[in-house]
Amino acid sequence: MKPAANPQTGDTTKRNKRWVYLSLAPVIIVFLALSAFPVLNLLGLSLFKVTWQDGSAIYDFVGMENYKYLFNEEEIYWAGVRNTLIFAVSVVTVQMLLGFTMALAVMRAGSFGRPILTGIFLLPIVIPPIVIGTMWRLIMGREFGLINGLLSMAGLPTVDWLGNPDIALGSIMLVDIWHWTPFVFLLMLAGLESLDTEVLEAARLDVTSFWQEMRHIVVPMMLPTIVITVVFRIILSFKVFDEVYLLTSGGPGTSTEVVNFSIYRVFFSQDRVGDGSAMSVVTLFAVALMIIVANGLIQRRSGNKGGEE
Amino acid sequence: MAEVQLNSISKSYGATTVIDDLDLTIESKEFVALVGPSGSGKSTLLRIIAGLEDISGGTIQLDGRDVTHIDPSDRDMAMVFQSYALYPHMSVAENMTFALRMRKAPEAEVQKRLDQALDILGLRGFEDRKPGQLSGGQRQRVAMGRAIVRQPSVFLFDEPLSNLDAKLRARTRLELRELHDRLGATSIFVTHDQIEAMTMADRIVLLDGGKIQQVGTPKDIYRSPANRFVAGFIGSPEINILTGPLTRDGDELKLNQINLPASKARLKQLEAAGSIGKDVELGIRPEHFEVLKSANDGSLALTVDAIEFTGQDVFVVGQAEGANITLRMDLRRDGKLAESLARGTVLHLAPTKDNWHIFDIDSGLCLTRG
Amino acid sequence: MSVRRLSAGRLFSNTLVWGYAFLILGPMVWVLSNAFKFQIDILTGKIFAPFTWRNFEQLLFSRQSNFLANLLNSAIVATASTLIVIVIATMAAFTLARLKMPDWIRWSVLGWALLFHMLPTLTFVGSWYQMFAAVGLHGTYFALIATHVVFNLPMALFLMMTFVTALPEDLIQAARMDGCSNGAMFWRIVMPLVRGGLIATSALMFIFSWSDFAIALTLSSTDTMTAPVAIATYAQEYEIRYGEMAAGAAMSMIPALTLILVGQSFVVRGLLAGAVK
Ligand SMILES: Nc1ncnc2c1ncn2[C@@H]1O[C@H](COP(=O)(O)OP(=O)(O)OP(=O)(O)O)[C@@H](O)[C@H]1O
Ligand SMILES: [Mg+2]
Repeated sequence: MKPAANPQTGDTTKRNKRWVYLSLAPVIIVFLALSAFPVLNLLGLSLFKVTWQDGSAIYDFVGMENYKYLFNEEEIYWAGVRNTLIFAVSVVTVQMLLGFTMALAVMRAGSFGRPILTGIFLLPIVIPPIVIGTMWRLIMGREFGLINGLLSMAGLPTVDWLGNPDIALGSIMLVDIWHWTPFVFLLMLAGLESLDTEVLEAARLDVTSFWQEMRHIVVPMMLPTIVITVVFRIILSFKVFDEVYLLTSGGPGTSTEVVNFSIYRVFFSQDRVGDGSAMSVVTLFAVALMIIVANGLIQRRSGNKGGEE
Repeated sequence: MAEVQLNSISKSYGATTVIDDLDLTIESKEFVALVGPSGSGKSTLLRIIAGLEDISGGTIQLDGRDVTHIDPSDRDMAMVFQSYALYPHMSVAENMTFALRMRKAPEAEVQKRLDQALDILGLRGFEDRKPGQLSGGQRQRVAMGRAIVRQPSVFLFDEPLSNLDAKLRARTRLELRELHDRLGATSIFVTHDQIEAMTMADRIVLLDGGKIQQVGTPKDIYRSPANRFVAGFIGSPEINILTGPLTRDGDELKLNQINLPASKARLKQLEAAGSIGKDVELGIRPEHFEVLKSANDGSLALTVDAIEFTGQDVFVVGQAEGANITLRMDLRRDGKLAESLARGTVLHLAPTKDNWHIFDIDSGLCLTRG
Repeated sequence: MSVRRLSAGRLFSNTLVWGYAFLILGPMVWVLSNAFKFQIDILTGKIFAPFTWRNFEQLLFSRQSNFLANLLNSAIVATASTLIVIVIATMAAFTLARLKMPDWIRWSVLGWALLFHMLPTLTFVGSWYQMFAAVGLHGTYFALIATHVVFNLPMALFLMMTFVTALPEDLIQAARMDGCSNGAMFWRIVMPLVRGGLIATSALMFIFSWSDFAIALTLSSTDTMTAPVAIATYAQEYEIRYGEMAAGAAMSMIPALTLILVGQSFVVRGLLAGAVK
């Protein structure tokens, strides 16, 4: 009457072990082949000078030459580094202030049409960045752009948003702020709404002004979320490429050069594989270091907090 | 036939030991209840038996076969969870037959067992519903059904009745015991409800802090608790405890001024344990007092604080000798007296012969076990 | 707090957020409207101009344009990479989140995923280009799909882990008692129960792959060029065809718009869950 204990699973322990490795294998293989190996590949390539002859590559070992060149003579890359840092810090600051203010306003006073609003705020996040670049190229165009059209209709002088070296980086930042503030807003709103309302209400009785409430209650309670968002948005804004490519291609001059664009140019327009690899390696390790340090700090902070309470 | 044998089982999470060097043998076809306060390791022990939890040391044997390193799927045990853990995406019938299908049982057999189980549990007509469309009691039945269709050699229950209302719980208790007798498997039942344990189990295993405090039949555990903890844990209202020096004067035994009627054997026992003249703890269950008409030499004066009617019994709560004392009165016998009680009334109580326990103050061990 | 002050606050918050919403929508609507205008009307800056489908016709069906093929390429790459990434990520997520395994493997995989997720993609494309060129796979669908898989893998992994972690432990153990090995448990219990999360994650992965520009720019060939790359090339022609560019942009927004209309709450949850990782 009873079927034998378990005909097909007498060896479940063994099969379970096998599943653990089999289920991880694809992910590990993909990571190794397409993200870890490329790093090694870059490390290797960065030690060579690659020239092309009759469509085939010739590798000359040059040791640290590419790095020496990068650190001493590749000015455009360092312009890119500077621009990227300025870009990252400024856009994230504005995004945080704007996003947080809006989230706070909505949280305290509410707004009508929340679902529609959320839908609209999601738009910039999910539509292809290249479409955003295209849009802003049309909007900021010198002759036929929307803004200049409106300006001249109002009888004001027009501005060369993307062609003037003093303004171009600012214009790119504007686009990025436009692009990512909604994301910060949604994140902050979710954070604010998950705060303990009872604590908030209780604390509200102890403070006398809006600013006191912000300084002593809301901001401290939100601090972990804010810190994580700031740190990771800064790191993620090192990824900026698509908009720059379409809007200014790093120009005019080096005014909107960003690290990613330098890498792209050196690799793909100038075919300087060795130099491009050295550049990639330096960027990669610098960003990785930032990520690891930031992660460590955040972990330590939350760890300490847990210990005190 | 399925004897479960645990040999010096240990389990720890990092530095905290949850189960500490535990030995236990559960006979074939036995119904054993694991009881203990919250956090005592009942669920952990049950899951160790199931194989869901790794152990830090020891071995587990099923009918003499070492199953310590056998996967839960291969142990031929079925478990009913407190949360029921029904698969929300499967119908009642699918939930109940899932295990059989996983074991590739022939379709005819699956159907037959499903039919039987549906009948036994009164779930006919609900086969195609999803768990989300069932009441709590029905879900509980499906959870049991899922276990019984398997006809496993061991049933494991983790507080399966705790989410039911009191009436349903009482009924299910009986049904479950009946089911156990009919199926002839071994059942291990975790509960923190001592009524459940007392009414259903052949034997009770009392756990505290990951250690077994006592194993025995319900009667055994109630009548002769192994230690202070067991005495306090089993029995409701809780056993009364008084502390003081034990003195003997001829055949008369006293704690403080309270006279403890004792048999010769008891006296010998206490004498042998060397507890005469020492401070000890005295435990007397609420029903083991006699209410005297008037005070006498060794009686206990109870000042009434509160009176709780429960139907047949009356619990009288009050103060005596600086301790909280509860007295149980049978309305049929002492009805008149009970009616006349009020706050502030003083009752004179006398312990009855041998119906009390003496515990060592340090070790908590019972010094009067037969 | 008086009623008046409350309503003043409401006015302020609504003005602020709806003002921003207008800043998002305004430019988009304007650009999209260009897709339905003649080039001449766009250049002369007419806001209201005669309506035309010409830009779409030109873009999709004219001889000079390959946009239909580009859209198809985007769809092929996005679909294939999403399918692959979702299957391998979900399997791994279940194992990483719920099963016993050596800790160092768990933390290496997750640590690397986190790191790789945040590193600039551009630092990898050069190397990818070299690798695929060396084995003759440059410009193939394979190259694009494989790189999109690895590019989306960390996010898919994190998202699926949050969904798998949310399953009740009792359910997993009940299945174990019922005779499920890990594999059976994955297919019969985990997969059906995380279906909602699976769909949300797939949708996001599809969108991200569809949106990718940097990888497609460097790894695709004329035959495998995706829509974003095509749009970018329009923008760089000597004589920019604004109408067609706008039409292309409009069409490549379709998946994102569909997603917002159909599964907004899904997306919000997914994006936010992914962001705090
Ligand atoms: N994963 C874990 N890590 C650390 N400690 C744990 C873990 N799981 C359980 N414990 C501890 O083990 C002890 C026993 O837990 P267990 O769940 O077995 O108690 P229990 O007797 O079933 O209690 P209850 O009646 O509340 O269900 C508890 O003190 C608990 O805190
Ligand atoms: Mg428990």
